[in-house]
Amino acid sequence: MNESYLGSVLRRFRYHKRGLVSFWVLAVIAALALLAPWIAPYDPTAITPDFSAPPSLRHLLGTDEIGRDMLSRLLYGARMSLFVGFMSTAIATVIGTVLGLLAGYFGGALDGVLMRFTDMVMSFPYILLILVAATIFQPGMWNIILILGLVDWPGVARLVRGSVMELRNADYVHGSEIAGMSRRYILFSDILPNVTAPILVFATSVMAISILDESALSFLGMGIQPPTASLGNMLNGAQSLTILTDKPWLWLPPGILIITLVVCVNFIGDALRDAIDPTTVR
Amino acid sequence: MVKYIIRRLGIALIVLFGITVIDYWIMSLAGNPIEIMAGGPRVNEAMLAQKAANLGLDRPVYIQYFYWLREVLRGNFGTSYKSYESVSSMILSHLGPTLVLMGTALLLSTAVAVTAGIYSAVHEHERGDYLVQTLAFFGQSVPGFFLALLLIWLFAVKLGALPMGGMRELGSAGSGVQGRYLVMPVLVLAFEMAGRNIRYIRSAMLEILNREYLRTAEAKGIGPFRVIWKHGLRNALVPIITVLAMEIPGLFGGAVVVEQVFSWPGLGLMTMNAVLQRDYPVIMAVCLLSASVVLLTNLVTDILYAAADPAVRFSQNASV
Amino acid sequence: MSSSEKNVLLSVKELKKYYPVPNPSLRPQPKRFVRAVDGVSFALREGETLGLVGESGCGKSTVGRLLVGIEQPTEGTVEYRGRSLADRKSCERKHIRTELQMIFQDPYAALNPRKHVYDILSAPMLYHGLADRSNAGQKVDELLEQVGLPKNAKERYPHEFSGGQRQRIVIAKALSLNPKVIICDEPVSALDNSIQAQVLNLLRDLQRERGLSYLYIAHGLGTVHYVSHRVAVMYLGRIVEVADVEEIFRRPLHPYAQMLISSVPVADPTKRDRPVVIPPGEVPSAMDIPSGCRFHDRCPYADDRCRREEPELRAALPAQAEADAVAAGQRGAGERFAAGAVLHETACWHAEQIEAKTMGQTAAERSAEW
Repeated sequence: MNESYLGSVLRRFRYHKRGLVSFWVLAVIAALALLAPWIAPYDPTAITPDFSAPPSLRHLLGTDEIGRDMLSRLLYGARMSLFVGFMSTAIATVIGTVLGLLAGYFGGALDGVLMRFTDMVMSFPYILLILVAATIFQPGMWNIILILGLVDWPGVARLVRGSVMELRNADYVHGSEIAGMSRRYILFSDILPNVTAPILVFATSVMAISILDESALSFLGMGIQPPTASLGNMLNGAQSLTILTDKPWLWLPPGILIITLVVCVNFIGDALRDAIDPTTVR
Repeated sequence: MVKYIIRRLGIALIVLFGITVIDYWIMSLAGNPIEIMAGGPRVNEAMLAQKAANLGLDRPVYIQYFYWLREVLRGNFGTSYKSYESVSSMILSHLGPTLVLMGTALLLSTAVAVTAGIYSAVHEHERGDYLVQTLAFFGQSVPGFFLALLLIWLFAVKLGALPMGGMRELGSAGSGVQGRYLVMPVLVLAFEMAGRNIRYIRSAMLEILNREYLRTAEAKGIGPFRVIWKHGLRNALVPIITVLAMEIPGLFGGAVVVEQVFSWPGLGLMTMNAVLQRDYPVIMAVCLLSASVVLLTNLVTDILYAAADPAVRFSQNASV
Repeated sequence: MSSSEKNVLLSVKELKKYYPVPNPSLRPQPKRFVRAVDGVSFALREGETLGLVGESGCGKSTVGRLLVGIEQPTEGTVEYRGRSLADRKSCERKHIRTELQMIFQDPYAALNPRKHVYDILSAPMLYHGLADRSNAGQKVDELLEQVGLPKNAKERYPHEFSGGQRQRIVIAKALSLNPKVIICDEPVSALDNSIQAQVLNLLRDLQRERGLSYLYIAHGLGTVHYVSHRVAVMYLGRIVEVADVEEIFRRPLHPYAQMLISSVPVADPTKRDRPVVIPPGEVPSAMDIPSGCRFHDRCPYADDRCRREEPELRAALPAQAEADAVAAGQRGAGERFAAGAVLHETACWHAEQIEAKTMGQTAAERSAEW
């Protein structure tokens, strides 16, 4: 009976098998990625004497064309993907939430201006914006994070704006207005806690997209620059025919890892959605 | 209604104007195009200054912007810094292959998504539904370039059944697209798009199927497929329009990656090259073009919705 | 009314709220409005409960929302203790505003689902300096006790309570700022019948203890009879009749008020001879209010004047029998009436004539008139 809202969400989340499995898979990958500096067998940028060696006991996943250990690069690549995905999602979520709150609560001219601005950012072809930005600001981890974060927020802003417009007519918000509470209190204590759940669900899909975008960008050579390892730039070499045909250990593992990460994040989002809104349980 | 359309049109124009400003501003951050054009220190200062004056680059940025805007309104997007070709003609010559690729992928993915979405909705909670949903999930989660690599490895390298890239055999007569070259790029694009859309169509369809009049029709003994055919599909048109409209902005992004991997000589590849060479007039034109396409799509879908449902018109009126 | 002028807390004058109607057609049209509230005036005295009744859509809830400032009036003034709530500087208004609180119809929507009851009750007091960190807990306990909830309720979330308990929390929240006036917007209509009486008793007890004034907004007259001192009947955005509660139940004058009274269920089976009068036709749209008296197209007594001229609220004459009694030197209701002790105002041109005409009729005959 005396169960908090969060408690009931967690309880329902645990019933969602795919979500729970995904959560643990992601947790294990994240832990390995986090511990990469301690558990990686080699320095990810160090060149060993074995060039393009197939998997062996010495190099569990083989080495690349200039002799770097693939397992170590994979661990560091996953670390990079998760970090970029998480940080850009955080930036996008914060920007989107703030703008959505303002537009939804104050409405009027401010809402008009903010939503037109949102339209503009949304109308810019996504990848193009990223590519252009990546050429102008030197490609690099922080720039990629910033670019993805600055491009991904409109969806969050629209979601938050919609929820806020609905909530600001809720009786308990009116109650706070009648009680003479400040706008800040109403916005941050009454409204925001009630939109966090949908924001969280939306953020998981933003994170999945960010991870995919970062890998695509790095694959095209406009993202994380070698020698720093990223799952995307590890696949860059697979555009050459010899690697594609003869050295599957160079491109299969990073590809599979990207898919695993994105699938897990998507499944977790799905499970969260069901856990937060029990009426939509499938 | 006319007032509504005019209003939406006005808003779209304002947004487009904003985009040109952002567009130009970002480009002006990129640095002096003269240096990029010169490509090295061998040219002397006087020549550079002369060239800059010719291009109007010695004026303040906002003046340059209006010069540029005036030319754009006349249909002149300038000349490429690299090939010295007119940007408009570059775009026109690369537009065809991209349209063929995108159009085919859009048709295929919509057909697949609608069929699979409806199948999944009708067989809700059955084995087939879960299979479709899982596939859709993978469509959403597999990076397009990785799928492209897998396909090349399988069909071009192992089976030798399909060409690795390009759009037609070298040296062959004619100038059109050859079907065999289209298969893999279209598959990659369609898989991604269908993955995104199946779940949307499924839930839209479920909602329609649960409505009372369909239950009534079913209770009258009309078989489920006739029910869907006669009543459901017409109502499903709105979600299908939505899905199509949602895909348009994403198409270009997909084009860049897929055209790069398959060496497809379309707008995406052209843009990628322009980006690598910092060929700003080309990049700006492409940005503007695709933004206009997106805005136009939004406008058309908004108007279609409003025509179909007065409630949308009211609520949107209130929100804009 | 003049005798009690000094006790008036809240005075509402010619309040109007119009909502613009979007134009759905292709051709431009003159702007149209939904006239939700269309010139409402009344006064609320200290310690009094004024019932505001009418069918859904008559604008009664909008009046409540205008009073507490959730919505802004199109025209008209709301004066609290002689000061206009709209004119004051915001800081001063803020302080005054909190003396007007509201209890909502749906106790499920009126409490923030993400907050403990403690936070819900203490936040306004802390914000306005009525409590500090050290005594907030004690004040919350007092509030809970006043509304009849156990102390441990404060550690729980709203979803752990039943509808009636939630409404008690809503009441406690309204009380937390020591208000003078509480707008009760159908406070029990979402509750089970057995719970309704408990909540109404609580409201009455609180009124006695704290000297509160209520504007009690309700759909039907059933609960209004129980809690109100005076009743105002609203029809299509206007008040058509105001009277003391006994007076209006005994002697409804406006044909619409008669109709409302006749629809109240009677507990005593021996008194069930009263016919239920349901006027023909439907309530017109507030977008398209009839000319003249807004009730004329449903009224069996309507004549040309009713169709042309809109009647204003005016003092009703005492009933013939009462007037006779006063003339004969007997002490009775008529005398009190003449002295202003009994209040009865109506907005019908022919109220007294209708009364005289229907006086001798049996109930069955009267219902045949409709």
